[in-house]
Amino acid sequence: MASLYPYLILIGSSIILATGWLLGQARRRAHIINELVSLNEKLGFDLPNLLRHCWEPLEKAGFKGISWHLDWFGSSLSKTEGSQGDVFIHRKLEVDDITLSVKLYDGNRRFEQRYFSTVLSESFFLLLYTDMWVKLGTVQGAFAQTAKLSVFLQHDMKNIVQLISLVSEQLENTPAGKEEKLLDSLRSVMPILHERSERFLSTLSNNAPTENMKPVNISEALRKTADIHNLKIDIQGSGQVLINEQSLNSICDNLFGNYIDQNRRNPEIDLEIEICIIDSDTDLEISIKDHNGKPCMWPERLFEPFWSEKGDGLGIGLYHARQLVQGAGGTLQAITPGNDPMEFVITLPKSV
Amino acid sequence: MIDETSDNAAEIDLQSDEPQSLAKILLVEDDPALRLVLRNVLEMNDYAILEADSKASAEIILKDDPNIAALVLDLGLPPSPHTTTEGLAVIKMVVAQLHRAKIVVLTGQDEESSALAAIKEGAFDFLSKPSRSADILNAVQRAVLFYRKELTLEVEEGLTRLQINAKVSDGLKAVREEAEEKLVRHVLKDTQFNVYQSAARLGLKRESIYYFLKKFGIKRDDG
Repeated sequence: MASLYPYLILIGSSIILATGWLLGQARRRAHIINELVSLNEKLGFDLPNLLRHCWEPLEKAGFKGISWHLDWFGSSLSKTEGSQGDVFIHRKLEVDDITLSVKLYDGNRRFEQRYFSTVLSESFFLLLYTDMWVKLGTVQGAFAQTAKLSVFLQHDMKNIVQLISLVSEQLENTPAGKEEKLLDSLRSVMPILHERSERFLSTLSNNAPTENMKPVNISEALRKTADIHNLKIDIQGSGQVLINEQSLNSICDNLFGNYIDQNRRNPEIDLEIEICIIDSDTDLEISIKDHNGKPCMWPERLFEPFWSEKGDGLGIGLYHARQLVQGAGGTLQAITPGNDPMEFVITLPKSV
Repeated sequence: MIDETSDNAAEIDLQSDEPQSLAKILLVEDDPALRLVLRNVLEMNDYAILEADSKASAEIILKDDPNIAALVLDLGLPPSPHTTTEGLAVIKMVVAQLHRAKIVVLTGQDEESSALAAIKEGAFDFLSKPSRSADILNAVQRAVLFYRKELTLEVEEGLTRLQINAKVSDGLKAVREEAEEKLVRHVLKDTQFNVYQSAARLGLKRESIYYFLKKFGIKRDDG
């Protein structure tokens, strides 16, 4: 038995050495995969750029060479780096308008080397494939959003142009004795037109205005917007906030718009909007709640741009309102308590 | 167009002899500012204006006032103001409920497809935004003229205009059935769902009216 000890020690040592070596190799490959992932992230998940810069880490992994041919939305790109040979791993990837053919040249690898090589190449191909989908998703999303935005802006713009053209025609040809009536009508129309034009402009702009910040009475601003929409609200409390007035009007407009849309969908349920303004040391907290409102089914989607519950809205109202509130140094949250109606809570810096 | 001889026109509120100033126009537009300006334009030209901002409110107004001569209709209405769905639903509702009012579409939606869809559903005229007030007034004037003349024909000559969209390939049976349905609905509406009077007016037995009610699924609430 004692004579077997040296052999057992030798076998055990070999196993330990082999395992250690394999672990080292695996760690090295994992490090290279991480390097490729980081490189991809650094290059903004841009496929042509990744292909141009991937050779260095792949060479470290022991590949002999790479050649690729990319058809990128109708433009062809190709490159070969390292050396070519008879042994290679070939993959053709296709996603809509992007087609990629990659060959990774490898030596005659066997056993564990072949396994490591396969794991690394598959990880690399997966990265390339992900980049193709990321690009396609971005392009398709941008097209869809632009089309949606264009439809919405066109609709609003046509209404504004129609209104202005009718008003100017009326001003030119006012029948005798009807001047006062026209003036009365303009007194009602102009604030609505002003509000509409501001909303139109703020839809086009992503930036919250930080100029012309001035003390604004929050309850007056809320009432003004509610009156424009013919919306009954009950306000408790008052206070002044420091904000760009145009931004505040847009915030109120977007929040009330949410209730108006809900009411139009369920006209049988009357709105019962209660607004509480609470004064704290530095901020005003404004909570808005429709007591007859339905619970929110999509709390996680409320502020997602270009998402609307029925797919019939532009879906940037609440997102835009939050941007504007944040631009004014405040916060906008939606509290969605299970089966109870949703509540918006805004904090805005107080004017002192 | 199908003509029907009517012997009971007394219930129709004939306005043809009244001055044009009394013609009632229903404005269906969700933009309050534009609605107000359009109201002004039409009022200054001696029309009486009623306003609705959605299909639901338009339906209520039409039910309350059957003497509306024309609708000026925006196709993009809430809850989906950026599609034509609600506006087309208003046209369908007006046609299905056999209102005599003519529909003038004034919309900012895609011109080609909207015009086709609106005319297919039974709109009288189509204007795209922005339109000049003269064009809007001309369209409304034509719509009121047609409304009044059709009313006159109905009262004086017993003629009723029914609109049928027919595909030649569907054959005569489909056209006949649609005409039958519209005629029965029309007469039932005029007689306030009085089966006896409707049968008499159509020269049919009461059983035949019950047969049509069942066949076309006509209910009292259909309008």
